[in-house]
Amino acid sequence: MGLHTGQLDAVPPKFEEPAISQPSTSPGRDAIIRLRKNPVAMICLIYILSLILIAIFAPLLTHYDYDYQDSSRYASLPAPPDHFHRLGTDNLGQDVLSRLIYGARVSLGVSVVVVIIEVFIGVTLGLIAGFRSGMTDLVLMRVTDVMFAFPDLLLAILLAAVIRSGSQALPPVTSILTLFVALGIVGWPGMTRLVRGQALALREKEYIEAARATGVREKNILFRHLLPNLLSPIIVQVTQDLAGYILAESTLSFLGLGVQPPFPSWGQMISNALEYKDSQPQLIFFPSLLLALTVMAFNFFGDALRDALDPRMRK
Amino acid sequence: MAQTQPLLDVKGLVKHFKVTRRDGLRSIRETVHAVDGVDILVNQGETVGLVGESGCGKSTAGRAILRLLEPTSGTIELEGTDVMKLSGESLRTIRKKMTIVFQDPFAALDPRMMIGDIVAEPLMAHSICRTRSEGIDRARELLKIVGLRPEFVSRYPHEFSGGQRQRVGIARAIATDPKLLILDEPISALDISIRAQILNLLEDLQSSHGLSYLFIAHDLSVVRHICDRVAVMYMGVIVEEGPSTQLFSSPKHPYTQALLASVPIADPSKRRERVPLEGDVPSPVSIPSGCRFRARCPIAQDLCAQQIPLLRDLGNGQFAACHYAVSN
Repeated sequence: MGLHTGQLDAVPPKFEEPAISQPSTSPGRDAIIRLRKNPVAMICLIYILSLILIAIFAPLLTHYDYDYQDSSRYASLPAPPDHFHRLGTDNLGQDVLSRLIYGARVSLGVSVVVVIIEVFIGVTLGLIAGFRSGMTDLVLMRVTDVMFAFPDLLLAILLAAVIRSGSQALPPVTSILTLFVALGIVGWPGMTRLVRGQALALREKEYIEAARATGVREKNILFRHLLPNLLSPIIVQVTQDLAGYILAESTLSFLGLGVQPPFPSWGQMISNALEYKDSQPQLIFFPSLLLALTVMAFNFFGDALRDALDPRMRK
Repeated sequence: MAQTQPLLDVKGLVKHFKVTRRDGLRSIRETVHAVDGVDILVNQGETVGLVGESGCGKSTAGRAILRLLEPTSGTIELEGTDVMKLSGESLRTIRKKMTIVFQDPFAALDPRMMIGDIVAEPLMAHSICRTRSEGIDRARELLKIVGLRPEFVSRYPHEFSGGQRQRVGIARAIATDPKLLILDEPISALDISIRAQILNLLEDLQSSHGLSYLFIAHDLSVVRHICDRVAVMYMGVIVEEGPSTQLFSSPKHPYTQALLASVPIADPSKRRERVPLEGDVPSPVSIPSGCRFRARCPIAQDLCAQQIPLLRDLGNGQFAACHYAVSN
């Protein structure tokens, strides 16, 4: 009575026409296409990729080792740029350009390792908390809250100071490991919260329920539905956290708690250059510029990624 | 009705939700009686309608039968198997035999999966297809069955309209060749023009695949079109039940009468006698004494506040839970 099915039956379309006839694209490809249309994102991406290449091929691009002290020069005062050293030398007669390039290795290396630690801990705990809920969730999230309550950098400084507080000086390589531990411990709660929140929201989605209703194993629901849908917020978070860790590493090194000489680090170079800020300002300028550009590039790229991956942007 | 073994036999299904309400600093624990003792019987090849206003617990009942929500109590038997006793792997395998089509086709498909993978997923989960390519091949056939092009397997959900997505949802639901489909308002989110197509598809599938349906809906006209028997739900209980023709021609419960009177007629010259329904559905937290419908019932008496009316046999297979329902 209410539905006039008879009339509609008269013209049954064999197939409903597809809404669009363009070649099919996955949500991921869509995001990449949108990202490529964003000039700021592409500039940032080019900058980041060149920085990564420079860091990887540092030995091929530099004329001097990062710890080579040019004995032909006066080695207790920095020198301005000249024919041999394009950006000058520091107070130990070390080539500034080489140290900047090797410094990129340290900055990127440390932040990438820390992000891997963060993703590993954060995603695991976040998924457990979000998917299990109940007591497990409660305990995990309270621990996370406690960790979250500490001021990040202060805690990292404290941890770095505690780890290196032995009576003997630590070998320089250990100083980098110290950074991994200190920043890794500080970093995971943010990721855990993000993943847990997203997992909680996704768990209520009908397609998860549909998968369960058709008898899909929990393990497959986790890996085939939950994780792929979590991927975009995680990627965005990782990009922006990379910037944060580059900054944190520089801060710790600036304070003398991070990378130890002879290994170079932008923060440490800035710190050393402070003493000569009046006579040789370029010593501060170049590492600061590089640091600022890098952090900005990661942040802008993260923002662009967020926009590109946001399903609401889809036409 | 020739009674052999019923396909689905649900008895005394109860689903309560515990909620905590905040009143200032105190937190008050309450129980929402979403489903409060429901019996549903679906025979082989039959379509049973479960209707009621939104919030009456019909969708909750559907999900509880599948144990997507854990029932508080009750028994659920599918072909003699006690579904309530199953757990883990055996619960997973029973879902090969009964599954669900959701209301919102936009939410029910994973946006990151291709249509082929979505349809093939149950096949892989129950090891009906061993490899992905085998699953995709089967998905092509299933898409053809539901009236979509086989080449849609490599497309993504966002490229389709609501009606097309619902067809995909149906293809996924019938992939494992189930006995019973729970249709949770499968057409109410669709355009009017698409609804009839989906209903026809469901009817075709029923005859070609020997399916039985538990059709959850709030729209009586739809239910009348497709269902053999209909159960009317109000606040978590069934107030009237009977063969579709019987229930629509002579509704016994005042609530059913009111629901029927509210169905619009597509002819402005015809006027129907309106049974006014006043007030809102009472809160499912504090269930009124006696008859749950009495606050809104036009014929309520003192007795209705004292005694809970049970489903009474009124002849011709019709049952109603009303003290004043007249027998056939």
